[in-house]
Amino acid sequence: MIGNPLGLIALLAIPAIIGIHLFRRRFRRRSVAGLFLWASPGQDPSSGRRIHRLENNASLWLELLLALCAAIYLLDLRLGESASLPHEIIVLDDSLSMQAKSADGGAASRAREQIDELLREAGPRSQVSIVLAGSRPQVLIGPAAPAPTAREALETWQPRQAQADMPAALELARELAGPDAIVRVLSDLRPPEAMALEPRIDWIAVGRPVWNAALTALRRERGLADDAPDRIFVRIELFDPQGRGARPIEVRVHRGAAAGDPASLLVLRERHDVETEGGLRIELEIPAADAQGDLWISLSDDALPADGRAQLVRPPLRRVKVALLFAEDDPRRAFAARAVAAIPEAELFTPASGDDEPAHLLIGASELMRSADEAFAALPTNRATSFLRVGAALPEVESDGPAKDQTGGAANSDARVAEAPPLLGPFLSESGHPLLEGLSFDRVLWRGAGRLGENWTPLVSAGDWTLIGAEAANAERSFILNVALGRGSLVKSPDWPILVANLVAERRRRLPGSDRSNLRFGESLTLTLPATAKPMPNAEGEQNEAPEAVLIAPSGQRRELPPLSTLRLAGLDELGLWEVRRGEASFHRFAINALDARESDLRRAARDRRDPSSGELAEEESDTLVDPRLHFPLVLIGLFAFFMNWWVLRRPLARRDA
Amino acid sequence: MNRAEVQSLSARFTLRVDSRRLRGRAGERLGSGVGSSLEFQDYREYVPGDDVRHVDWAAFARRDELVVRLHREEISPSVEIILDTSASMASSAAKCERAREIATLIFETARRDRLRCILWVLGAGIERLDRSADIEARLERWTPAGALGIEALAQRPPQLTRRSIRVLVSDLLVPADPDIILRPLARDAASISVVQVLDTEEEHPDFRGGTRLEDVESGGSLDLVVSEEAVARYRKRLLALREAWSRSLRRNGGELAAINDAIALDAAAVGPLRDCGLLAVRGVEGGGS
Repeated sequence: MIGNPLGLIALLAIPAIIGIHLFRRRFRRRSVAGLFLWASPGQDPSSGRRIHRLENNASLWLELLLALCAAIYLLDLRLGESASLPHEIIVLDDSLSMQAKSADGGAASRAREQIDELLREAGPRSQVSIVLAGSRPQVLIGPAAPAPTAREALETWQPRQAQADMPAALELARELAGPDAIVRVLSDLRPPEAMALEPRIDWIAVGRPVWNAALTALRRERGLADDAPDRIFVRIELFDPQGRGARPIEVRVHRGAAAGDPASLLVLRERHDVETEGGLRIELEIPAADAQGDLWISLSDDALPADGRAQLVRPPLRRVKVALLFAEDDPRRAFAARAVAAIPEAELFTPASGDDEPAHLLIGASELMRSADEAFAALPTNRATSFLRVGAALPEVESDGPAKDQTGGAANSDARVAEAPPLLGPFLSESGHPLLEGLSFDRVLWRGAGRLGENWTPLVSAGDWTLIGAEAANAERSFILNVALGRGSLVKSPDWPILVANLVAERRRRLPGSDRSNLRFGESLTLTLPATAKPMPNAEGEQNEAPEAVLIAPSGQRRELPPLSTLRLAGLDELGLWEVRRGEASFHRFAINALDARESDLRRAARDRRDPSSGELAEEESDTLVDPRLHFPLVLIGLFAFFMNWWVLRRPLARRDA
Repeated sequence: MNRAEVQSLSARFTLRVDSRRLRGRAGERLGSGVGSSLEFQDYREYVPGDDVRHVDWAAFARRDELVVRLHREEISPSVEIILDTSASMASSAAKCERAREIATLIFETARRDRLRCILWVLGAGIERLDRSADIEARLERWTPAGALGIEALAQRPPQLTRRSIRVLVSDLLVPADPDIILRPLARDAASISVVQVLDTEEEHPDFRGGTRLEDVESGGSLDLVVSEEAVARYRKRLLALREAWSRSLRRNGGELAAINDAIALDAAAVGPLRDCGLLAVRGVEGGGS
């Protein structure tokens, strides 16, 4: 391996030496007895030069050997395993806390200085690999890059990741350098206990314990009415190594742009005393006029300003349109309407409103929804619409009298004409089903359940009676509530509005877009894309392709999203504003903020170096310091050739001088 | 090597020696000390321990005191030839040959003078030969090739015989201080002579142009465009070197004889070797015993 290709120029010395010897002056030989009588200081042959046959003498070969040694030295020629130059493997903490500043500078600048010193100690020919320890390890420099390149890259490096996964970074570093290499870690923290005893880690802590106030939780709620204010729930924590009681912290909210930007407008400014223990929870109310777009919240400056700033995207409005399909005089309509009205993000859908969009959720009497063609034709629905059938389609019976069909229609063919005895909750529920979240059915009297066909999967059951079921073929959006609503106590219990709210929430989750617009680092986002119709030919006969969804990171990096209706976006490892675009249109925007108390807690920051005192470490380090190149033997051979040549050439001179 | 010419020259010349400085085993020459030869030298008072055979009883009878007759010492002095056989002596065949002839001439002359001769050979090491047969054989089959030059004389001085006649035969082309080399060589010497043998081309280089000069001993080389100026500089340095050796020799009581292969052996014997006081014409000059 050639370390320095410019050293090839040195090989030109070989033809130069041969040329010199070709043109070397040749004389007739004559033996004399008193050579010393001939020699004269300053006497120089004055005849011209002619090409002569190359003379095979020691001087020629020694000079060629010397030139070859010099060329190999300058070429930095290395062989086999010894081809490796001194290689510094550095893991650099890339988390936000490295931005922390103290009276004597910042942790990041101290890390740069430390790396510079390490590279100086390793020598000018050293190589370096730098792995950034973030949420995912990333190679900043290398593998085995020249030291000057590393210095240039470090000039522009700014720690910006929300957290540092040190084990993963160390694993990557060892993959780059081999398992036996010593990895130098630069972080503002001391090594965690799990790594403290690892022998091949040279942990250099470059932090300083300083006080810091940070946003550790944020949530923005959108006012549902047009003139309703947005509300921001904020949690501020204070980390003070001196353990002082409280510090005054100013909270500012800007719109238009982040604080400090000329385009920003101050919306709100409040001053609070934040306690060291317990922090502070506040609720900020942003008037509707100021809350139309994104908001930026910031705290007064401290050691780590980055964790006191956050961007808050206004959550989109995603109302669920609920249609009711009951006979006008059916009391169940009122029960359902009352429950829907209590849910803020649901609205009753009436075809007469002129809304062209299909209903998102249809709650109706089972007997009216026996046949989709028959029942659904009355209301605009689509393949995404969820259904809740109420009742087992049994003949409605008066308290003890004969049963009668509530709708006057024929009995549901899926249900047997048999009614369960009155049942008293709680009942057996399928654990974890989103429809049943928060439901207990405690002391709920359940009446009017009928026998359901085998196409219904029980979600809530009592004995062999299925009380709430999901349609096997359509378990996500088709449910049955096997009850005579007016006869039991379900509608009087809190479980009824909860059940409807769960149904609405479940449907809401499947609305296009996402419930969440402001995430903490490390969280994933579930995104529902609009149902894409099959490409249909337009008027000109051309097919309309469904627009591709693209995820754009804060850095501008674009990722194409797969053509699925529901996506879970994970690994969102960049702080800032993200955007999902479909074609040219923005489909969903969301912000990722740090909000990590572990990064904001600078009380644990330290400046020291773990003493690599274990014998194994010291020994290993000395092994790695052995220069494996050919320099030593090359220098020896070169010196031998030089002095031998000097001696060979000097012999006649010595004799002459004597 | 022309052995006949060497024999002829050795018959014509003798080694010039100063008997006052001679020492040696009992032999045929009178030494500088008191000995037991027949030649009367002096009287002195008798002291206990003197050989009573030397008491002059006639004088005792005349003067009533014991006196001892002192006679001249009869010695057999040594001639030590230090021959440089390092690789530089073979830079040319003529130079090598001339050096061998000079060494053989001195050896043969010494033998004819009945002097004891020792040959020190510098080359692969410092080798001492004292038997005439060995010396003769060695001078016959001498091939310069060793790396040990005369500078070794300063580092590892040979155990030379006291009061011996010492002759160094070398090209002297070593970048060393002559004093350092000569000092151990001249210590306790009866006389010392240095014969510098060079190739003609070494004295007067006749090559020009781009040349890689390679030292035959050290292996060092020098790329040089040999111009007139370079040759002039070389000559100047060579003469300076020779002058340095001469000065050093004079300080140590000796002389330098510079010879090259262009000079015939007999001319060398009559010329530089005689001029430096190493040889003398037998029976005419004061050489011999």
